Order: sequence, then structure tokens, then C-alpha cells
Amino acid sequence: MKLISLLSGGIDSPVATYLMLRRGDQCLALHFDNQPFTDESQLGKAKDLVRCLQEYSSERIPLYIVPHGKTQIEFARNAIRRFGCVFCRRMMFRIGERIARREGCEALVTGESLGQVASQTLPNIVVEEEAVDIPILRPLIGFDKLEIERIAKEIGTYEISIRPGLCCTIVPDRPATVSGIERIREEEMKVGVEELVENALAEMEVQ
Amino acid sequence: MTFYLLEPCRTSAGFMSTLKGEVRLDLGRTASLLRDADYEVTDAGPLLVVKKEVELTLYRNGKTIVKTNDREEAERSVSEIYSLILPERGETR
Repeated sequence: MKLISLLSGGIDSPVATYLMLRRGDQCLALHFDNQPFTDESQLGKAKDLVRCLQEYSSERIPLYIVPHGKTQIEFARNAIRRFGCVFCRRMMFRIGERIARREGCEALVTGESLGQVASQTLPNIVVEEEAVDIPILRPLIGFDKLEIERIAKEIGTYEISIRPGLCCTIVPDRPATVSGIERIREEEMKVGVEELVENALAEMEVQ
Repeated sequence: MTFYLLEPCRTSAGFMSTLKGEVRLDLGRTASLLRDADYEVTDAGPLLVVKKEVELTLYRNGKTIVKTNDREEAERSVSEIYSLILPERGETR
């Protein structure tokens, strides 16, 4: 299968990508550049992670870099704050889906692990994936953090992922762990979702 | 004025500052004050992204996250920001 893997600078997403590569799947990497709500180190990590993961792929892994800061600002200004992480994930999936269709990919891959953070509770995962039609594969969904870290160490991504970096600074103080689809749709009406997707794609870089 | 400068976690590439005592900033007024002092300010609704020599994120409760590995630089930047936006709180340190 040809897949698009959402790759942050963290520990989980490179492991998820590796597990799909190990099956023989072809992965394209998609990184959302969250500046100014993080620093440039996350992008540097994503580039190095792709170089590391390349060892496990017979095909070249291109890195798609999509600016995400302006999208975050629009939601922070106009929509309910505590749903910020859900809006963020829905936008990532929408953009990922558009690239997937363009590149002939059959599914998205994420490093989500059930309950690990606010956006990864079951109710939020359900709401997030509602934004798209494309299948979303979550090879780490039942893993705990220690298992994920063990694989990351084995494949050489761990040391890259734990390099100093800034976490997302626009995460709400109390992110919602349960969100309803109707409410989320209402909030998204306050923001020009399609325009944000188009703008982000127009500014995308491929390396 | 007293503020605390902390490293949020072991692998953080920045510092976080918090003020002693409660603060609720008017971010519109704060943005204006900082722009007058030649800061580049991005209004992101519940927070401001503020840049001169160093970039930092400023929240309504006065908390900042400073994008530098240099503690002295972080302290200097935060101190300058607080003295501009909260002059009634007196000397920063």
C-alpha cells in the first residue's frame, strides 16, 4: 500500500511509520510545521527522522512540510479554545487526505495511542476522523508508551525524537477529552476551513 | 515584581516564566504597548507571539514561554517585557 504518514518530531509517529514500512508499505511523510507555536527544532527532527526511517524503506520517503501556524491562529481566535486539539487534528487529516488523493495514497498513518493525550481519547478520535473519508491507520493504538519507546530505541529514532524542542504553546489549558461532532461542526463554521486547507497546501514544501 | 523562570521539562528548548501573584492581561492593550516598543507581535487570540531579539509566547495570565536555550537571555527578555506591560508592578528582577 502507498500511505501518508503524519510525522511530528515526537517519539510515536516515527515508530508508527516504521511498523508500516516493515510490512513493505510505501510511506510518504507529512509534517505540520507549527511555528510560531513551537520552535524550528521540530522541523529539524522531522527531517532527521525521515533520514533514519529511509533505512527501512526500499522507496524514497519524500517529506511534505505544511505550515500549520496560521490555521492554529484562526481556530484560536474564532472557535472554542478547549476543542483546539480536535480542530488541529481534523485539519491535519483534511490536508493529509488531499495530499493522499493527489499522490495516490490509500490511507493516512498516525502515531496515536488510545488515551495518551487529550486528542487521543476514543470520543475525540471518532470526531477527528469524521472530517475525512480516507482510512486512518493507527498501528500504535494499543501500545503503551514504554513499548513505543523500546521500538524507537531499537530503530534509532528515539535519540532524534528526544532532542530538545518546544512543545506546542497553543494547547489549551484544559483541552476537551470529549467532544461532540455537532458542536465541532458548529465551531468550524466560524472558520473558513476550506480556505485554510487551500492556503496550507499552496504553501506546502516537498523535500 | 517577582517572576519565576523555569525549564518546563528536561528536553525543553526554552524557558517558562510565571509571575508571583495573579495577573489578567488585556492582550489587546498589551499588544499595542509592545508594538510601540518595536516588538513584532502576532495576535493569536488567547495568546500573543512576541518577537524582538528572542521570540516568546505571552498568555493572559502573564505566563511566557521563551524560545532560547540561554537562561540569561530568557531572563533579560522576560524582564523587559514585564516592565513594559506591567510597569505598575515596579522593578523587575
